Amino acid sequence: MITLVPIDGSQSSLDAVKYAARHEPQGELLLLYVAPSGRQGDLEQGKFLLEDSRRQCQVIAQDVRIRTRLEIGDRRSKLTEVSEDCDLVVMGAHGENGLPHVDRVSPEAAEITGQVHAPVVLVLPTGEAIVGGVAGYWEVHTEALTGHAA
Amino acid sequence: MNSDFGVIGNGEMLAKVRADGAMTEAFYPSIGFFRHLVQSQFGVYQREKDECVWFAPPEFQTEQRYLEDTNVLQTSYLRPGLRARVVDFVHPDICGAVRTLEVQNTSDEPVTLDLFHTEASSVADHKGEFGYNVAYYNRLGNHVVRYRGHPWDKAIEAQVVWLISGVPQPDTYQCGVSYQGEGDTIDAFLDVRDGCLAENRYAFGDPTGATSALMWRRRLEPQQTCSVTVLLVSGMTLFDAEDSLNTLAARQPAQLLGETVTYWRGWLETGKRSLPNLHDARLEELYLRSILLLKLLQDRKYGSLIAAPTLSPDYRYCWPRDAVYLAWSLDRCGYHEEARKFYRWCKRTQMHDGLWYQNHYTDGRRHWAGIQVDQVATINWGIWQHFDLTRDRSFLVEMWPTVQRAANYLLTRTDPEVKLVFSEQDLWEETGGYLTYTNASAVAGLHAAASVAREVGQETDGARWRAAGDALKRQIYAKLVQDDYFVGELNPEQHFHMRKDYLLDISNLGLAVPFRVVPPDCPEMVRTVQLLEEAVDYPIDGVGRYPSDLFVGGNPWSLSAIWLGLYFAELGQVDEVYRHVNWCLKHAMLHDLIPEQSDKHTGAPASAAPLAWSHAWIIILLQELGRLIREVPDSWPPHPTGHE
Repeated sequence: MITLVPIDGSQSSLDAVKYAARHEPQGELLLLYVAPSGRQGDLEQGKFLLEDSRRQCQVIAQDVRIRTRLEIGDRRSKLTEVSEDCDLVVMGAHGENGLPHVDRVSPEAAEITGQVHAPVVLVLPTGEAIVGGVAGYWEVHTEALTGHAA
Repeated sequence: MNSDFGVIGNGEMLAKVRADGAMTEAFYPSIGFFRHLVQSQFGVYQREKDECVWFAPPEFQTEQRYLEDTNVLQTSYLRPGLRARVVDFVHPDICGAVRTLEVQNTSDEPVTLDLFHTEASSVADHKGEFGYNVAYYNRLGNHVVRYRGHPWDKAIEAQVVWLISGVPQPDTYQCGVSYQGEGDTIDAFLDVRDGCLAENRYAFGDPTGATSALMWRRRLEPQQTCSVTVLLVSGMTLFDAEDSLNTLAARQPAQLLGETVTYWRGWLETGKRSLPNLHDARLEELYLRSILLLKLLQDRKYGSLIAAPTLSPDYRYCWPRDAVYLAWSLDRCGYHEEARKFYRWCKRTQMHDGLWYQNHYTDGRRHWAGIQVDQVATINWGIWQHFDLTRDRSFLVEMWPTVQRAANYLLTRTDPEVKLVFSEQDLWEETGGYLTYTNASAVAGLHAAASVAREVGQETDGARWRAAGDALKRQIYAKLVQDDYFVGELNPEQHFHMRKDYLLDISNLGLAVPFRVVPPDCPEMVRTVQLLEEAVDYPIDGVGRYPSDLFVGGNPWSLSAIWLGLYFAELGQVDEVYRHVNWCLKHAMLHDLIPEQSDKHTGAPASAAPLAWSHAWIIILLQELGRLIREVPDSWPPHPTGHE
């Protein structure tokens, strides 16, 4: 079981990492960062965020198997491409932009959910997770996250 | 994904307002750092209908525009029974965003409305790892105080503070914990739904932050109008913020708006004098909007200019190369003081060996440490351009040590065996080498330094730099022309990081424009352009950087189109200039804001927007277009090219 967790440095993606480590520790977590370009700064940021996320996961679930992957290009296309080999995608419901206090799910997250090749779990700022199903329909996936700082 | 938005600011504070009127980012005390505001929105609860809606689609038809010749935004709303508008601006002298909501009852019945403003902040880019995000309501001042607290130190005297105040005084308020669904500390965004706020005075959220709401109860007769204003004021300390708030609150919102409109219209007068006659209102609007945008992107305290007000990708820094082109553009529009201020920033931030690093925070601290030699050369070139436009010799005297160090640095970067300048990074920050663009800029930078030396009576240095520039130019012809065209690097087919080869690259045009190292009609350059145009065929047309580009998937860039337009302007080919300008305009966002890239399939804006140097270059291109129209009146309007 491979769970893909895309990372972009936002609080929302950090929540998704923690959620995945907590709820899918039996399989393998694939942490993905898509750098927009191959510039040194973009790559360094990607490496830093991936390593930081790996540590966050290990604090939560010591035995979880973690792989990291750094890709370059268009985030949505790469995410769709990588998801072909995965069983589940866990991602934040909002990125750096958007209106997290009004939109339950950002338009970008909703769009990605419709494009990727695996079921998607979206982690809300409340810690709840929802599953993408038929367009526009969402159901509660599991209980709320507990203990943010775990 | 880029939503449409407008930008407002005053050089110390910068904020983005989406097309639906939601303010989503506000930066202070510099235009790049820190981001404090996540979301600020107006809404209304209508008692008769027991209905709560945000001022946003789909509940309202929405339209946004800038007030003419200003950086003041107006977002209009319409639905049956209600008409509204929000006017947004940052006062030119005081660090406060002013948001005025005006609502009119357009129905035949009286209505009872609870107008509200809600906000979520993340003071100092708080990410939940350290400290609390606090909101509390100061009943004495009747405003919300936002700061980043800490479990064992709640002092707020010495950190960035935001105050959110309502004019007139709101009837009720709430400070809540983000996403909390019930109780006294219910999230303010949720609390507004029934038109009744809990009036909790203190809330902190960790890690998700706190929210606040202000609410005004109004009864409007048919056709009656009312307005409320929210002041979002920041300061480096609580006392600074309170001083600013008191200053703003002492004036009526209409007066603040009047002062701001007057300021921008007055400031733009200079730019309007430089506006060429383009016989096309939209091109002229693009020209003026670009000037107004550049002003917003200059830090008024330090003079630096940022690449774009964007978090993703993060371009909130000053890249010296980009900023020189911004300064040149401002110079060419008559804003010499702004340009001078930037070059003084360069003087202050130059390292002892003459180098500037890859990019800097607006206050001058270095950020990314890559070495891009073209930036050093470009600053010398820009300093000379400033003098060329102003003839201000005292400026050259002031800048002489900077120019001298930069020119000598360029000499040290010339490989004694290869006889070309080597740079660790190209202008795209992807790969290093003996790069054509870098060498073109080095020739221009050395020649500019020689010209400066002549003006300040330092002939010995000048002769040395002139000779070095001439030698470099000869080497460019000797080594960078391969198969009868200019390649991008000395060994263009070696293994490169991030790209297949360095044969063709839009930056090869730098030899002709802007650095004028080779004439635009020399056969090698003509062939280069021909190959560049054939190299990539995008579904949406446009011009890319190079064929194997991976940046956000490899798309056409506005900058590439503009550079090609400039090249054709040098050749006097109006049709081609117009084609590239038109492509940029076609793919511009709301308010004619130009993105870095446009998705090659959909044409949607991609990567950073608005990109400052695209706006700087489009100003220059439009000036060139104006020149061509003036010189060859028969060339206008252009003939259809079949491309658009």
